[in-house]
Amino acid sequence: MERIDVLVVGAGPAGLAAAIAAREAGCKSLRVIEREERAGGVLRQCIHNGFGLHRFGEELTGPEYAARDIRKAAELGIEIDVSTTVLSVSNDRVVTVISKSRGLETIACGAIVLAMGCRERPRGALSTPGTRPAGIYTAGNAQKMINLMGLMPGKHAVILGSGDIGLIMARRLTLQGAKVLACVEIMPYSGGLNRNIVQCLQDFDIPLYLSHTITDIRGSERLTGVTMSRVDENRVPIKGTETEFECDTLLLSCGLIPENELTQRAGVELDSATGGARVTDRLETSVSGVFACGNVLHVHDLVDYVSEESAVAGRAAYEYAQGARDFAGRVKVVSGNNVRGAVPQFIDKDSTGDVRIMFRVGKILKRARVLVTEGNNELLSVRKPVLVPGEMVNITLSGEKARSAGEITVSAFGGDE
Amino acid sequence: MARELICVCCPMGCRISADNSGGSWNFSGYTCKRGLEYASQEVAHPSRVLTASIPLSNRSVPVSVKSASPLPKELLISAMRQILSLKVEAPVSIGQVLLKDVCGTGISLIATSDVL
Repeated sequence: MERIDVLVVGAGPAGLAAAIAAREAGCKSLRVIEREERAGGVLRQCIHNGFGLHRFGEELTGPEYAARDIRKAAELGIEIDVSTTVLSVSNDRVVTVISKSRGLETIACGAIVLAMGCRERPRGALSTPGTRPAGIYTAGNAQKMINLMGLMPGKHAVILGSGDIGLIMARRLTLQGAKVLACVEIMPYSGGLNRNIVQCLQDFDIPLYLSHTITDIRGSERLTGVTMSRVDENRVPIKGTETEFECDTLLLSCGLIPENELTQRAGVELDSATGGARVTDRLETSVSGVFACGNVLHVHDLVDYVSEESAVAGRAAYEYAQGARDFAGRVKVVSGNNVRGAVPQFIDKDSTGDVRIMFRVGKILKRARVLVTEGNNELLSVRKPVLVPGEMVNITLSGEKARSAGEITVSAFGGDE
Repeated sequence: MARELICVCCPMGCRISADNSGGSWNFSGYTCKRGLEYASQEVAHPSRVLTASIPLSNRSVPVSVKSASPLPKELLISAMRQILSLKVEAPVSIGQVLLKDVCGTGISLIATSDVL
C-alpha cells in the first residue's frame, strides 16, 4: 500500500488552497484527488466577476481566480490526479480511489483534508407538485450547460428560489437571448446579495416575487408552464392568488448542501445546522487526522474565505502528519441567540493564534451586536450595522481569551432586543 | 423624474430615492457616504462589467470572456449581440484580447479562461 503524508479530496478552491498551504509548510508527500477532468471546481463555470476582492484586491471572474491557484500549485510541483474518484475514507485514514488510468488504489495517509464542496438541493428534495417533464434544472446545472458546454437550457424560463446562483443565471439567460419571466422566492426576503438583485434582475426588468412559490408544474415531455401562488406567513399557498407562466424551463435555486457522503462513511460527526463536520479551530473533525474545509464544511458566500480557511486546514493536516501530539483539551463553541451553525465548534487548547468564528443569523438584525460570552463573562462584543441570513458573519476572538474558557457562546441581537 | 435605487455597497441595502425635478439630482434615504456616491454614479453613468461565454469555431466548448472595464449599462444587450457574432478560434489564453473595441467604447473584450 502506498503511504503519503497528506491526501486532499477535491481540487476546487478549498482543495487547492489546502494543498498549496501544506506544500509551503514543507509537505513533500502530497496528493490531490479530483473526480473532474480539470482542477478548479465550481469556479470554472462561475464566469461572472466579483471573486477575489478580499484576497487579491481586484475583482476576478471564477476561472481567473481558479487559474491563479492552479498555476501556483503547478509551480510548487503539486500532483493533482484528475478524473479520479475517492470511493472511501476509513477512520484509520486509508483512502480508496479509482481511475481509468491507474485502476483501484489504496493509500495510507498521515492526514486527510476533505474538500469536496457542496451540491444544489435537487427537485426531489423540494416536494414540488405537478408532472415530471424535461426542462427542469438546478441553476448550477444550467450554468454548467451554458458556460462550459455552450448549450442553452431553454427559451422561456422561470426561476424558483432567489439564491445567488439563480439570480446570476437570470442575467446569463437574458444576455444569451432567453426570456426570464420571473424569479419566485417563498421567503419574504431574498437569499441573494443586493448587488445581484440589482444587477441581475432590476437591470433587465425581471420581476422578483417574494412570499410566492410554484404550486403547479405542467407538461408531459417538455415543460409547458408553471403556476405561481402567494404564500401566507406559514409559507402555505393562498387559494385565489394563482398566476400562470408559459415557460419551457424552470431553474431551481433553493439552497446548497455540503457533500458529505464520504465524511459520514468515515464515521465523522456532522453538525445538523451546517450540514458539515464538527471541527476544531485547526479544522480537524471528530476523526483524528481527518480535516475539512470550504463548502463541504459549511456553505460560504465568498471564495476568498474558503481559500483562507482551507490554508489553515492544509497546514494543520501536515503538522498532524509529522507526529502525534498530546490532547490538551478543547473549548466548546455554542451557537446562541439568533446564531446558526457557528464554525469551529471546538477550540483546541494547544493551538495558537486568534480564532475566527463564522456563522449565519436566523433572521435580519438591524443595528446588531454580536456577543461572545463565557457564562456571564463577556469575551467579545462587536457592533454591525446589519446582519442578514444570506451573508455569513465572521468575528475574530483573541486566542488567549478563547482558550482560557471552558465553554463559550456566540449570540447576536438586533437593536430592538 | 424620481427613481428608487437599492444601494449595493453593503448588506444594509438602503432604499435611496433620487429626484431631479429641481434640475439637479437630489438623494434621500442613504445612510453613509458610500451610499451617496453609489447613487450619484448610478443615476449619471450606470456601468457594469460584462461577462459571457462565446462559441469557438474549432472547438465544441465555449470560452469565457469579460469586458476589460465596466461598460455603460445601456450597451450590455448590444454588446452581447456583437460579441456573440465574433469568430474566435482556439487556442485562447487568459487575458488574450478577442475584440479591441466593444460597441465603440474603446473597451476591449478579453478571455477569462484557457482553451488549448
